[in-house]
Amino acid sequence: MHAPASLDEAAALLHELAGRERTVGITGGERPGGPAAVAVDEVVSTRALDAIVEYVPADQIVTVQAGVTVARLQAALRERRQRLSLDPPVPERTTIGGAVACASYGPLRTRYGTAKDAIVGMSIVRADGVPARGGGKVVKNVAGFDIPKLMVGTYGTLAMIGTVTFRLHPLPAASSEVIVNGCTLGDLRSLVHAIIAAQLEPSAIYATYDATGYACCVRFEGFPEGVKAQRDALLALAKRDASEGSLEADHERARAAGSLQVKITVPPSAIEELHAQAVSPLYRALDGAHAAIYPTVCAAFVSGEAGDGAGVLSALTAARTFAERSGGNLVTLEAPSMIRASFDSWGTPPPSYKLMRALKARFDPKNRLNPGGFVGGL
Amino acid sequence: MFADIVGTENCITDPAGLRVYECDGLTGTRVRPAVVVLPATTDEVARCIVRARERGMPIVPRGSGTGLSGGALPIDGAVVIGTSRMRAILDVDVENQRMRVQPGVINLDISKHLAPLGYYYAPDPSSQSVCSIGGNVAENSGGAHCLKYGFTINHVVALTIVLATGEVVEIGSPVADPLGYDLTSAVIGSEGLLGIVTEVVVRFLRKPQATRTVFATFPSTDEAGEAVSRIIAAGIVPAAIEMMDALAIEAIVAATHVDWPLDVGAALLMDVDGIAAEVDETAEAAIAILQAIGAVEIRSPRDENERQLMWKGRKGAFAAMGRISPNYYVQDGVIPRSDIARVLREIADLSARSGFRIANVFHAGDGNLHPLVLYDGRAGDESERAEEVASEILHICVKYGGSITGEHGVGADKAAYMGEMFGDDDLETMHYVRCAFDATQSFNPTKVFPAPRICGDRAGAR
Repeated sequence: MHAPASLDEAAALLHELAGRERTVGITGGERPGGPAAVAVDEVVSTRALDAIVEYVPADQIVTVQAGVTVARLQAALRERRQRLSLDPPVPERTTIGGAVACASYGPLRTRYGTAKDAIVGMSIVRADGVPARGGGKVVKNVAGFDIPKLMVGTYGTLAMIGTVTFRLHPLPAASSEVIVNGCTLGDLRSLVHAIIAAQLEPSAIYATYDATGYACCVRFEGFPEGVKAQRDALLALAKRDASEGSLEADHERARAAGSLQVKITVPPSAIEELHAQAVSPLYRALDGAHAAIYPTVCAAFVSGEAGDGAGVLSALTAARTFAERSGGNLVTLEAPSMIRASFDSWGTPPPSYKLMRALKARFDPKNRLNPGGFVGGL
Repeated sequence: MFADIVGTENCITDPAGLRVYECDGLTGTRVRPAVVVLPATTDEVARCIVRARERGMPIVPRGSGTGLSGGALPIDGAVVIGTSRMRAILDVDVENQRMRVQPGVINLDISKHLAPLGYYYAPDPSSQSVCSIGGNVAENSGGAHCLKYGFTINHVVALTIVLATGEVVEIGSPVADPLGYDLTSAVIGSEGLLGIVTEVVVRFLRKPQATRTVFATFPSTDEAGEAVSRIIAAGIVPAAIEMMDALAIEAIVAATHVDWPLDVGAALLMDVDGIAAEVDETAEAAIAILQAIGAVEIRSPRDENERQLMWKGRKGAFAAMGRISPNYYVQDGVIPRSDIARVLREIADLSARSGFRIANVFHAGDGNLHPLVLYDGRAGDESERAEEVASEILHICVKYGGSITGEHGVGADKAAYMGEMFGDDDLETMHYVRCAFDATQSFNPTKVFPAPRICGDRAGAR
């Protein structure tokens, strides 16, 4: 495994590997390639690219190298009472480069969106070893095509991410989490409607499942008066067993435990069916299963152990058919090789697949970066 | 030559009719196109594109023509494809907070349509009462309230685009996490170089519980800039925070009915919105900061009418310059927020040195400057010299680590400056995107990139 210690070294390395036509996988952790885990000739780790390059608290802007972990960055920002409003699972091990390349997110997506919404600039090393930049270090900038946002969720198939520049938010002065217990997905849907109708502005809404039903956590952040007003309003409109508390541990297990991790997205109109058609069958098929739902995003996460795989495969196939028919998709974020062998990690390519192929051909004409590791063999 | 596709009445070839389309909001530069077509459907757009390609004509997409960088400026021999007849709202999905519209729909009409339901569309460029959503997509438009809510790219989730081949492609999705590359991020802000967008799916937001507006005046821009920094440092995220200097205030007062004082050095107009209890708390905290810094006067609008009037004053600021100067050149540059006071002093020095009055009215919260260089186009070479002064301001922005454009785009006007922000390899990387979408470079061929580049055949290399 290569571990360049600077962007210059990374560029020289990728240039050299391009000359030898080697295939390359990029990783912030132990293995490259994302869900499909395709084999590559050379692995390039970003672990030595671990510098916080520039942090200007007054501008609420930070530039970090790809190998910095999310937890380390957040700790540095916390000292100046700021944060990156992006909370992917396992922040101690997830690197910034990995979170951006995999478009990873957590419950804060409810209010703050994805990595794309926080990124203002990026430097990359292209497949041919040439470094390039896009965006800048100011929040507002429309000069040129938005290469940084285009790189989000590309799973190392277009270029290597070198540094990322983010816009930051103030660390909330106050925070409160309310748990509403014993919900069906129909109840969750009604709860979300009630929150929107009451013009509440939660920073996160997520629910965890435990075979008896869903417990929903609604987090309010901001200044104390507003947080208190929102918490009181929610307790009044929840109309069921509700109390302050946290579901963080359950949520983390649903997002990151187990050798099989599945993500399903559907439109809100399909959220009630999501349980019967996807979450429940997968939960029953997996050993030691955990499940979570982000009801405003309409994303579900199920994780666990696949056992001998037979029941799991049919549950996965049925769930994917349902998700795709409703307009969403099902992706296996992690899967044992036995599952990967017979179940495509990504599913049916979208209607714009031909354009995606054209983009890949421009950025990586010899198909050397994580080849075949993305949707439709991109 | 397009009349069979769009109908004779929507195919403009007579000189008088073409005059209207000779420029966009960058009125100083004019080129007469060969023909202007106004299709009504995606299919008509596709057929116009194929026809133009067959005839080897460059294609210039156009929305409402309010852009300020010449993005819709015609090119010699080009067909201008305008979307002004494509004004249908196609679908409103309230539960999913998504709305599908044709590209000619006016930005403000989206919010007007949603208002009875209690929702709105966040990006609010100052031209929102006339600019089209298709143009917003091309320019990645922002507006005063993007400080808190983000830009077009944060609020558009899916697009229908017609490519140079005439193919109609759906990109992105109204559902979360569509598979594959985020092509919407490539298209939004691509200034009409990749194709013509014929449907836009926007994400809309619930109206906040409360909005409070605060107007404050200061002895100079130094205190106003410092106030912005301290408000942000206090952890407050205003929905918008706008600064106007003395010259801008003078013009706005002359053009509108706001009763702002004329004997001050700068004014701030700020919105805080959100949860009612929090808005009260943050507004009071912000007012305390304004007082501590030495604001001359702090006032809140008495009612919604007065609030609208204040914002109308701000949003009409560019047009108001006509009251104090025969001509003005609008600049658009960005600097890190913490350098506002320093940069404004440099601009004041530049004004003194060059002899041109420069008014400043801008989005202070995100460091997006809009210096207006005032000149008299009838007087000798003032027009050229004013433009030189405006370009000098861009050099200052780049020197401070900022951008040559925050929201008006590169277009025809700033292509020459791209090399100051980006190296050749950066531009080549952007060019990859263009070639992937349109290897023929039929769309807006002379815009954005500082020098012509070919799309070599890389697709066959594997």
